[in-house]
Amino acid sequence: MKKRCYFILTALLVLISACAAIQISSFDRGTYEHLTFLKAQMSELYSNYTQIGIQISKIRKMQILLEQYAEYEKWKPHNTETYKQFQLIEDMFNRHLRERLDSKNPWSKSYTEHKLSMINNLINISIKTELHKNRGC
Amino acid sequence: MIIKLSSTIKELLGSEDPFLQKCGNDLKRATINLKHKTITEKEFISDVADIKDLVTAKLLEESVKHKALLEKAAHILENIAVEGITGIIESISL
Repeated sequence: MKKRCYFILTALLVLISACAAIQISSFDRGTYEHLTFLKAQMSELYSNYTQIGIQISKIRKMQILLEQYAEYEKWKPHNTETYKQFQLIEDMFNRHLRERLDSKNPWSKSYTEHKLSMINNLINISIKTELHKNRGC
Repeated sequence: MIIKLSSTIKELLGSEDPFLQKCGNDLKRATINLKHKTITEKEFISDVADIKDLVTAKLLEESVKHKALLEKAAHILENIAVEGITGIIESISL
């Protein structure tokens, strides 16, 4: 009898541990809205890169937004992939910005469109990742 | 590095996956543009870094296809983006 109880208890413990190990990331409407908002904002911001002067206040707002969204992802459970994707968006945005600031002349329309398509493709990958997550009941 | 870049572009273009083909095309276009001096080396490195970020983001997707090829591409692109490729692009044939 004692042996049987010990076996059931062990089996239960194994079952509980297995359940805890299953990490399911869930779809978050907030993340989806952040990403679609970012995509729309990027188009507007990048169009400024063809101008002689750059509106630093708009750029700073975007940097703060990116930091805020990345922070939002950081603390969600089982969310490493989306958090890393937000970091990649932030990195690409800042790299493009550095490149534009280092450039003596404004970007050409075609180069701006090319760089915008790169960051949009990156955001699209994150949107797709979010949409593929478990939507629950 | 040049052989690796050249073979990676060919492998990406030869795959049936639209994402990989697009990466291959972007990389091929950037390489040809650099060869013809339509873009600067700095712009080429920037394009390589962009493609590397796209590949890295794709690798984070759940149940990603062609993982081995994506990992190989990410590794080569990372090396080019970090080390630069002064001069060597001249001899690439695509």
